[in-house]
Order: sequence, then structure tokens, then C-alpha cells
Amino acid sequence: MSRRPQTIGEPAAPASLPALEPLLGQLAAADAGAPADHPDPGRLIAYHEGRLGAADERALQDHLAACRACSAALLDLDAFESAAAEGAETAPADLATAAAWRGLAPRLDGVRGGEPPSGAARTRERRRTARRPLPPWLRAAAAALLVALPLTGLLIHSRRQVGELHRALAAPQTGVPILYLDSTTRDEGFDAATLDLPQEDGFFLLAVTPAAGVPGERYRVEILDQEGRLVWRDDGVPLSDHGTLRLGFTRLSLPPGRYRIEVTGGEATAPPTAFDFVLRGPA
Amino acid sequence: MSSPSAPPSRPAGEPPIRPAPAVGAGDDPALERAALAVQAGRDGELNFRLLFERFHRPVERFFARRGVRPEDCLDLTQETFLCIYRGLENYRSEGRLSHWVLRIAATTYLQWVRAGKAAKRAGQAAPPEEAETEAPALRLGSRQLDTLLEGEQRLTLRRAVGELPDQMRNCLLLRLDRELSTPEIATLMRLSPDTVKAHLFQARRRLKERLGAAVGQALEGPA
Repeated sequence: MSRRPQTIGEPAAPASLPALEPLLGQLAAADAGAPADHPDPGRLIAYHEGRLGAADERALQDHLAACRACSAALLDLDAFESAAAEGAETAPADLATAAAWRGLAPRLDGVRGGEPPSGAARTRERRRTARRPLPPWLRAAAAALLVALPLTGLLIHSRRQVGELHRALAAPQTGVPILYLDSTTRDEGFDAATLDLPQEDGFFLLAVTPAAGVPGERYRVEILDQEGRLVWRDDGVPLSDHGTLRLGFTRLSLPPGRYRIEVTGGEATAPPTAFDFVLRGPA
Repeated sequence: MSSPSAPPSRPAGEPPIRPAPAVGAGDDPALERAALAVQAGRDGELNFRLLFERFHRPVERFFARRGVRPEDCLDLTQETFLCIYRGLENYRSEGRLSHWVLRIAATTYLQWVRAGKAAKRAGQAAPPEEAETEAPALRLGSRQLDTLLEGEQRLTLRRAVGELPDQMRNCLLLRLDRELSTPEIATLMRLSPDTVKAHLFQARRRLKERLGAAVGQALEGPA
């Protein structure tokens, strides 16, 4: 759940940002709590880039071993550069990042309010995009392709999906595999509950145990994928006599992946329960 | 498990084991393009999300490293990205984007500190660590060791740590005192992670030999 950040006074004015070196010096002073004998930030950057001589390097290493503030500044410099480096491994955004984005995205409109870019930005954009118009026949061909290709893909996908669902529905619904899920389910070595999807196509039941509840009470259940997109939602799932919420899926509707489930009590008085889980595909 | 041999020591003048980042090495051009696209108002949210996903963890870690409480970390991280979004209007691509983002995070943090938020919450938040003035050789991984050692033993340990080779001692202090990970120590000491592991192994072995098994066990930490 995102919270609106507190105001911290006048936000940073990026147009008039101080340069990196003086900022690192101010950071070191703020972190250390009192002015201390810190190396010049320029030396810190030079050390990071391997531009110091052996003697200077050794002296700086001794300082880093003793100074929390300077080592924090250096670790930050490295972390930001590594994150932005060309060819850096870009792991898919984790759930925390996806959740943070969901909290931030609505506030972006407020920042620039959909206002058009400034005059200078518009000029740059116009220059960048100024191109000769395409000939009419090429535009027509591109339009036809744009329409035809997605329709073909959609048709193939739909036929496959319908076929699989049809097979699943045609089979008698007995012995449906049940996957049990609650906020305490954890396998050793995993940070989220890990469930193995059944081998066969067809339905499976996800039996979710909320923190507490009364049989018959209805719950709102949302399942989000790793990107924070809503995958599935039902506002009225009843709690069974066994204290579980039973949700029916096929492997198509809930394929292997990492998800977050959010369960809100029917009375909406209890805070939502949310936890991550991983569905593993059959080997 | 095979024990590593003595860690390689680097004579003066020899190039560092951990390759230095190339001077002037740039950021990923895709990020730069995304920043300029946001500036020009093209697919602003989509392109800004690319920047957000790349920098979210470093920005959040930036605040956490300074002892900011987790809930304040969330606020400050959001505030930083709002400033970045706002600031992209005036972003000039002369410098490195990563440094520009770091400068915004640092400015946001300094403004927050100056606004007195940290002081106001001092009663609840973990107090910032005091500046350390002791010579490195005299400081010890007190959290692990003070419970085990007293008086004479502690003094002996300090002497023994002080007698370790410089790099080995620094690696040990960063692990025991700061509880930094091997990659973090490698970054700070400009060594490879394997060299750091070897230094830590040797440091523990030497102290154990000199001070006995009790100290050796206390020095065992995460790899």
C-alpha cells in the first residue's frame, strides 16, 4: 500500500543542482555528524576510477575502513553507476519495485499535470522528428500489415485457448488438484510460497487461507503479476467451512510465474492480507 | 572444503586486481534515450518507468545506508523520483545520467536532514552512528567479540588485528565492524570478491592461531 510521502519542504530544484563533488563532501559531513578529516571528494571519485597512485590508494583504503560516511558515498557512487552501466544485467523488476511504481505513477500526472513540454523541448523534438513524409502506397501497406498481423495472432491464440478450455471443461471435474496457500507457506530457501502446478492441463484449485475469517463471509481477492498488473479479481469469494477461499484456475489463466495475492475481508474493516507466491511449471 | 592459499598481495605500482571502470565510461544509451523521450513528452510514463526500474533499488539503498527508517526511505525514494521526473524538463545530457540521479537523491536527503525531520524523529529512529575517530587497528568487530572477550583478551586481539597486513586488516574490519557483504568490501577496496574472501579466510586463520579457538569461532561470519 503506497503512502503519500511527507513534504520535505521545497523539493530539490534539479535545474540548479550542485555538482557531484561538493555534494559528496556535504553528504560525508552530514553522515559523519561533524566535520572530519575526509578526503577531497574528487580524490574519492579518482580512487573509484582507478586514477590514484599506489600510496594514495593505500591511504584512502585505510580511511575507508575507518570512515562510514566516505565508504557509504563510494558504495553509492558504484551502485548508481552499475545500475546505469551499458550492458548491466537488468533483472526484471521485483515486486517491491512494482509496488513502488504503483504508488508513484498516479503522482506523476500531478507533477507535470499533462502539461505540454517546454518551448525548448518542443523545438528539439520537432527537429528530431522532422522527416520526409512516406509515400501513400507505403503508408497503405503498413496500415494493412498493422491490422492483419495482430488479427492473425489473436485468432491463432484464441483457437488454442478455446481448445484447451474446451478439453478442460469436457473432462469430469473430480479429483481436481488443490494447491494450498497461506501467508506462512514457505519452502526453505525461498522468500515466497512456492507451489507446483499440476502435470495435467485442466482446472486446479487454489485454496487460500486468510488470516482470520467467518465461514460464509465474502472476500475480495486480487492477484497481481510481477509487474504489478492485475491478473485476476473477484469481489465476492465466500469463505468455505474449512476456512479457505477456493479459486479455480487453469494453467492458461494462471501460468507459471511470481505473483502477489491481496485478500481483503468482506467487511472491509480488516487490513488486506498480501503475500507473494511462486507457481512453478511442471518439470 | 579446500582452503585457499595465502591471498595475493599487490606490490606497489601493480595494477589493481579489480578492473577499474574505464574513465569516462558512459551509462547505457537506452537510459539516456528514455530520459530525453520523457523530456520531449514522448511515452513519458513508459520511458520514465524504465529509469525508475533501473534506479529504484540504488535510490532506496542510498537512504537505507544512512540509517533512514524504512517508511521514510519509501517517502524519500518517491520524492526523489518526483524530483527526477520534474527535473527531466531541464536535463542536459552532458554529464552521466547516473551521477545526475545520485545528485538528486543526495540533494533530497540533505534537504530532509536540514528540514529537521531526522532530529524530530530521533526518539524513534535508530540514532545515526557516531563518527569514528579511532585508528582502524584499534577498532574491532565489537558486536561479535565484546560478548566473548574481556580486558586482556580484547587488548591482545586489538594488537593481533593491528599486525595483520593492511588490506587484510581493512577487509576484516569492514566485515566485522560494518557487516558489509563481500561484493561491497570488494568495491571499497578495489579487489575481486575472491581476493576479499581469501583475505577474510586468512585473517580468521591467523587470529585463531594466535588467540585460540574461542576467538576463531567468534570471527566466523557469513562468507
